Amino acid sequence: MSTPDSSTSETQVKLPQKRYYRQRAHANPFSDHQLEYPTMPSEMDWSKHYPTYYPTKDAECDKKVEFADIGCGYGGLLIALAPLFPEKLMIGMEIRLKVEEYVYERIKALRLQKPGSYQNVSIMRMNAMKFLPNFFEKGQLTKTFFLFPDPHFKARKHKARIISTTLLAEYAYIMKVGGILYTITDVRDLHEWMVEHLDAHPLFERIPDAECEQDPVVEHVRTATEEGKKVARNEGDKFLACYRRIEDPLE
Amino acid sequence: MKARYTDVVQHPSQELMVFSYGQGYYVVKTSTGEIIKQVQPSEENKTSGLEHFRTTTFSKDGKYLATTGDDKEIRVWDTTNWEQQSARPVLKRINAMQFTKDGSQIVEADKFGDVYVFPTEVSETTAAEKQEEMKKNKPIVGHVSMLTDMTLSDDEKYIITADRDEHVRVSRFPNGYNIESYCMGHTDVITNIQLLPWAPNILATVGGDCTFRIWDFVVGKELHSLQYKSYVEKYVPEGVDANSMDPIVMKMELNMKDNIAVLSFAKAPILLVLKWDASKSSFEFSSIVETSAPVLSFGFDIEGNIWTALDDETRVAVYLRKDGSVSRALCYC
Repeated sequence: MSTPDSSTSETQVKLPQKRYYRQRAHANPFSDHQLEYPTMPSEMDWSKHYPTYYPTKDAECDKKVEFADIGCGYGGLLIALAPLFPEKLMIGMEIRLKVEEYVYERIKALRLQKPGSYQNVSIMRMNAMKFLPNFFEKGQLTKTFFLFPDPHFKARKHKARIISTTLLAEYAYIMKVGGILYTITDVRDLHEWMVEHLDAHPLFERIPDAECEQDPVVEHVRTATEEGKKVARNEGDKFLACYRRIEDPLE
Repeated sequence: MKARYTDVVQHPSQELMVFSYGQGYYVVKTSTGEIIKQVQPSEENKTSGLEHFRTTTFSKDGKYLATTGDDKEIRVWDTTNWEQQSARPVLKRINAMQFTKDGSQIVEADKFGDVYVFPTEVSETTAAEKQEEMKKNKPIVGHVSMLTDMTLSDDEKYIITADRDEHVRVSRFPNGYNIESYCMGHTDVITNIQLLPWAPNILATVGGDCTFRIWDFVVGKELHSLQYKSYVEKYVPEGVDANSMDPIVMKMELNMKDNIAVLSFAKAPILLVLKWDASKSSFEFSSIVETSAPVLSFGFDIEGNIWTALDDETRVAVYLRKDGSVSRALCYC
């Protein structure tokens, strides 16, 4: 499979239909999926993802991916953010194959429908719990998103949760000081778990709710994703918590 | 048939080596080859024949020996009389373990991907208290995949961990939440990592991809990579590992006397000797030592001779090293 490409000149491009890309909501993050990943960030071929910015694999490009949506699902957030931040490269990471295919087709169609737009957004199938440092250098990302993650309710499955003390160390590593980590969920237990772990992590500091509301991204965090829409339809709660990556206070 | 040895370690300052088997071990005086102590598991601790010591390590001053195995316990032994001083339960099986320099703490990396730090002294007395203490202790570093090896930097400012997904991570110690760098480049499992004793700012790493790499680990920069497949492939039986066609390194030891690195491989009857070239700050091939059977474990004695635990009736063979040449000299059964 290749990645989004805007070289054809079709005018009537249809968006993919989600019903052909349904997949169960869970994947085991510990199993060895057939994944392709670079041995180190400098080996990554971004030209497949952002041909406008990276004409070839080794092309000089001063732009690096800055936003990552971890477990991006059907890609609603990034599609909403792409026109808002046309100068920022953003990537969605999704472990489920069919969902990744859907987002890929969606971005491809959007690029064709609006030539010149959506060149800054892409998707890859990846296990972010294992391979983030293969893609991103220290301090590269300015925004990371964890939206409606798998709650893994059972206590013995808690290690599979995307926010944990030990994984936060990896997220802190790839994030720039001052960068923002966004979390939202409709599951109160999971919200409390994420807040507890982020609060306890010395490299993250909670952004007060009032300040979050000033952030233009937050409204999309609430409403742009599939899950966000579903929760709204069911009139469920949404618990938001945003954190800033800070310097190590103990250094 | 006698049990095979599973690990070999050298005392940091005396002519003593410890050969582990099952739940017990022999202490061998290397100058004479004499077994000075045989430690057997007490009847109450003996649960099944399958429980091997997997990892053994001395404290820097040689005062303590720590052992751990399939029983998920860390046992600390007083090396003056080889009496067991303490036992502490751990959550998961341990793949690497080290004392801090002052001997006050034990750092261990487990199969679940976590690193824990424990005081060497066990103050809890009852089993229930020990269990409680174990559950309260939080990991300082965690990977999503199994940890294969771990070491502290010489200044104990960093902890370096390696996993089966090709990652070598350098975190602050003891503040493991702050990752300093990654050493990225290996394309298969990493099995052994060690600092060069003569240049402790350099880390050596090996595993399943037939490259021996050295790193400026603080910044995660690869300094040199040596491809050794052509030297070893003819000795490695086919289909050793379903996941890999290449020989997998079982153990790596570095010796300061003449700045060499020695590697042993899964199911291969050889040792690969690499030599440090100080002028180029890199390693090069030196020799292959053929052994009579696959090498289960090995270590250097204080003279720099290589004591090997072999997978045959010989069980132990010593390879004497003199002026760059190696000769098989003694066998102990």
